[in-house]
Amino acid sequence: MALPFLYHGSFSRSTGLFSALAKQTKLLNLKPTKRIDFTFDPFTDNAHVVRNVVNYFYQDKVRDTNPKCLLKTNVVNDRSEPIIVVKLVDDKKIVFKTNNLSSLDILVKYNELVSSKVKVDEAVDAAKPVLTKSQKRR
Amino acid sequence: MSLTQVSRLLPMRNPIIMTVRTRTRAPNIKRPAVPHFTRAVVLELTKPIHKKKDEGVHPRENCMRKLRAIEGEMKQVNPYEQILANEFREKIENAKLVAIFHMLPTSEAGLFAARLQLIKMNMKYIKHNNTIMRLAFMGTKYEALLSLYKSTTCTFVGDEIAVAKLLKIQKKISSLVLLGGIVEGRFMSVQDLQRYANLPSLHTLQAQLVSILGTPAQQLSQNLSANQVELSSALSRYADDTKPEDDSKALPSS
Repeated sequence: MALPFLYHGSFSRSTGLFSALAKQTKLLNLKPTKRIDFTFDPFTDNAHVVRNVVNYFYQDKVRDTNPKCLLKTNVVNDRSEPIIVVKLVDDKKIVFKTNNLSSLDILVKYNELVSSKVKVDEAVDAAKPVLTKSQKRR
Repeated sequence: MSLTQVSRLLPMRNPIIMTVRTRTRAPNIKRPAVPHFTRAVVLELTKPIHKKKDEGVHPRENCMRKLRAIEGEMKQVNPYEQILANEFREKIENAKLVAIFHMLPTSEAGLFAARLQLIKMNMKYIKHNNTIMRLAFMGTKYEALLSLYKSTTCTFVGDEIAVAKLLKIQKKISSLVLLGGIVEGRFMSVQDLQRYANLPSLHTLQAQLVSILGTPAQQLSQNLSANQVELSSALSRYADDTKPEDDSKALPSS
């Protein structure tokens, strides 16, 4: 039997979906994006997913990661499925067809595809050796 | 008051105070000393085994989903929310122009700036949570509006039917996204509102209607008099053709 005197488990208790969403929101980074277009028809069933995602992206903290990134919401009335088009700085385009996705799915995928690029860049910068004052003088 | 009378009043219960002497430091609770293996085994074996609270209860009785569904049905309507819902429904019914916006996350200053723009059109800002919206519109003729009241939504209500102005202003407001509206009791999408804004004025439309209504009568009179008109025009042309020859012959003799 396991002795009870060794520590295992975590002290914090996650509240499931909401803590997952909070984690993904903290990871959101707009640096590699040039423009994000949110298109939805408010009368379709699954428009509320895009509306919720829009609220995450329009937060000041997220927008401050790249003030030059354009965020645009387009309301259409042709019963088309809601989509999110992300245009990156390197002219690549990512289209999220959000009809059957949840907001968590979208944020996770966005972080996987886009926000992770920022970390890679920062890691490259960190890999440069830190020079001391005397080394810099030479 | 005598002692005996005072003792019959509210009795005071003095708490039992026990002084516990500890060593100079507080007792170590966070990192207890790991006991010897034998001691640990004995402690583990002699731990009391308590009965489970739900012993003998079938999991189907404990199903959280089922319990939550029952709780949802039993939930009573908050009377304050019901009052707010009724007031909101009245405002929507009496207003001539209602605009429903999706609220993007902004500061109070940003929201104030947006409200300021719309106050110029005498539009008042109303925001309630979606539960109140469901109470207000479920089962009424406004049930279709509920499809818009998801996520963060706010409403602007006014008596000025200035749809073109509204569409112009909402493009400048960055914190609100227009989802739809109600104009004189008619529920409209954004496309419908744009079409409404592009319509000509009521007088122009009335004049057009009058002309359309008059066209069959006009056409009938035209058709009836067509042959007569043709005959008279042909005769006048003939008269014009023959007249100059007679005049020139008549003049030299006089």
